[in-house]
Amino acid sequence: MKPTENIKRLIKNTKIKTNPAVNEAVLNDLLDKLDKSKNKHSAEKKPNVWRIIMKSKITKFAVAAVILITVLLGIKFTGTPDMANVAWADVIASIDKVKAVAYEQTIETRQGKSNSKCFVTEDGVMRTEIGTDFIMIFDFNEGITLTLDSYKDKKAFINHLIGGKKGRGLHKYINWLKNLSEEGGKYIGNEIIDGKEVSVFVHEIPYEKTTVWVNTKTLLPVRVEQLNLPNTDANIIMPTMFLSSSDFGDPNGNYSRGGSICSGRGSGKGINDETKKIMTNFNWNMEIDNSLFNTVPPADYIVEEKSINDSEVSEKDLIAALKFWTEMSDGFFPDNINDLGDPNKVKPMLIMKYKKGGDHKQEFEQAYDMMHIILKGVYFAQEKKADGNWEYTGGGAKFGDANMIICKWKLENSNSYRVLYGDLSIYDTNDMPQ
Amino acid sequence: MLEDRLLVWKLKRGSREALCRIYEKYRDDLLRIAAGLLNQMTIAEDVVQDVFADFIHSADKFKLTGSLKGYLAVCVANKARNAIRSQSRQRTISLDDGEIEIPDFHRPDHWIICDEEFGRLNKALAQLPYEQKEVVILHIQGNMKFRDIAKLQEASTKTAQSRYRYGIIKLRSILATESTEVTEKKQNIVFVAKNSEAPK
Repeated sequence: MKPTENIKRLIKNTKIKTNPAVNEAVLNDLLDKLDKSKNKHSAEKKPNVWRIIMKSKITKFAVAAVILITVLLGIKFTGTPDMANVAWADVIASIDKVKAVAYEQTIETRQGKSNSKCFVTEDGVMRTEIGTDFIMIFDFNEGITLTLDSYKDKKAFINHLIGGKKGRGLHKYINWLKNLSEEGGKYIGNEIIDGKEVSVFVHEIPYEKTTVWVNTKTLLPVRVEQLNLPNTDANIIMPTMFLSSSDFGDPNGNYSRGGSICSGRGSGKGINDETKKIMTNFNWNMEIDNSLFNTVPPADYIVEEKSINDSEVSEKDLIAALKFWTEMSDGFFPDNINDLGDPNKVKPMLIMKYKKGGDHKQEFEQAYDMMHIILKGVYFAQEKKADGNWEYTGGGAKFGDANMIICKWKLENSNSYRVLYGDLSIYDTNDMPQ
Repeated sequence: MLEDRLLVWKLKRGSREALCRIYEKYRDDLLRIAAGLLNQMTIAEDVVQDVFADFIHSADKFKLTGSLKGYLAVCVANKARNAIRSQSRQRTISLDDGEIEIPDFHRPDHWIICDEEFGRLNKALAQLPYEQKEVVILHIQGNMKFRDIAKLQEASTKTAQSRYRYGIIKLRSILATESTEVTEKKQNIVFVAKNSEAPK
């Protein structure tokens, strides 16, 4: 070994011994300090403005899932810059100065309609309130989401998002408005809303239309409407599933959790259900109490923590989802790839696989984790379908046949194809496989 | 890394278990760094305790963007510098001055128990110019990148790397000399012992 390495090793490996009595004394002192500095603020503290809109808990979960996925997924824009409106440049300048904003949001989906009150800080932490008993806080800087559900009992659900993008900032919620002009937005004309003159801008891409009304005096939006439509041409589905602990033997059905994945705003892919989002009653630059964004649940809440894989969807998810399916279907692959996203087919499989009559909570969590992977796998396939480079030929095929092509898709910016075979091995090929 | 993020988050919620885990996980490393940087063990101990206390105090606003160990190591380095400057104001000594004080092995009020190997290394480290010592310790014991150490030292990365290189060379020389001296002493002892044997 080189002498330098010897020195490095000596420095690195020289151990320190500490006095156990002092260790304990110091730790006790630190714990005492911790107790004294515990945050007294509660995340449950609410602003004055709110009223109950929704009563159905399951609808609330569904809508919450839509909010969650809209927030989670990245934004990809297409379009050409054909709007050189000076007023819009002023709007951008105004949005740039925004420190914080509050607004009311209505989301209409096939599951129902939900009104929520949203608060966003400059750092990009968002608080959404659905009714008086359902609060969600998204802190992507910390990779944490907190849901406070006080519908019956006081429960707090904490998700630690692992592997996702961090620090999305205010952009995620508001600043996207600035990009509209560069993405094909058009100035339509002026209107009067509530006695005030507003300029109307429309941005339209496949499966999505966004309309923004801007106050001509403040140069800030007063209303935003966004309509998302599903891509029915490519037989696209938005993978959505819900599981309840009662499915796993919880006599009280204490918790249910679900998820869905959509392509998000600006994708132009249409991997979503028909959704209309309306943002109104903007209160720009309002002073917001920081305690509203505290991701520490109040002390009287029962807390459930979970790590969620927030990484980008990939072919690994699809392979894992297909593997699960074949295990539960005597080795056969699904007839149609969309079957993987059909809760009526997948949910019984999840219950069959994970319900063993043991700890129902643990079994529920295992099933939920698998469900999450399946949703990602289905979404991966939908993306490829939306891109028009996908073919599924797995119907009737059985796991293990290394010569049988299950599915294939063209690789982005390449002439090569990715081919998945019946033994779930995957290869690239330059020729369109038959 | 993942565990640290979770620990920090729990600490923000006031978790005593999280604090215990962070303390157990990094206590020895931080003490080692502080002891290497500072020539007086009692000050090194104070520095580490202060770093933990400050960390608790500011946990609410703290955002972990890199390694927790790296963050705490920088805190120790900053506090060590402050401690030395504070001393120098009182005693008019520079960062590189000062005598090394090794605590008594048996004193119950000391946190660090200094054995022979640890004492020997720290004595050698104490002979390095402070900036070199800081780079060597933070890079090897704190697992910090030269880029981050350079930021701390308000120097270029190349300067930090040079300081490291010179520091290692000097340490090698100090420890080699010391080893020779020890061997010579041992030989002398043998020689004296042989010559002082009682006549048959």
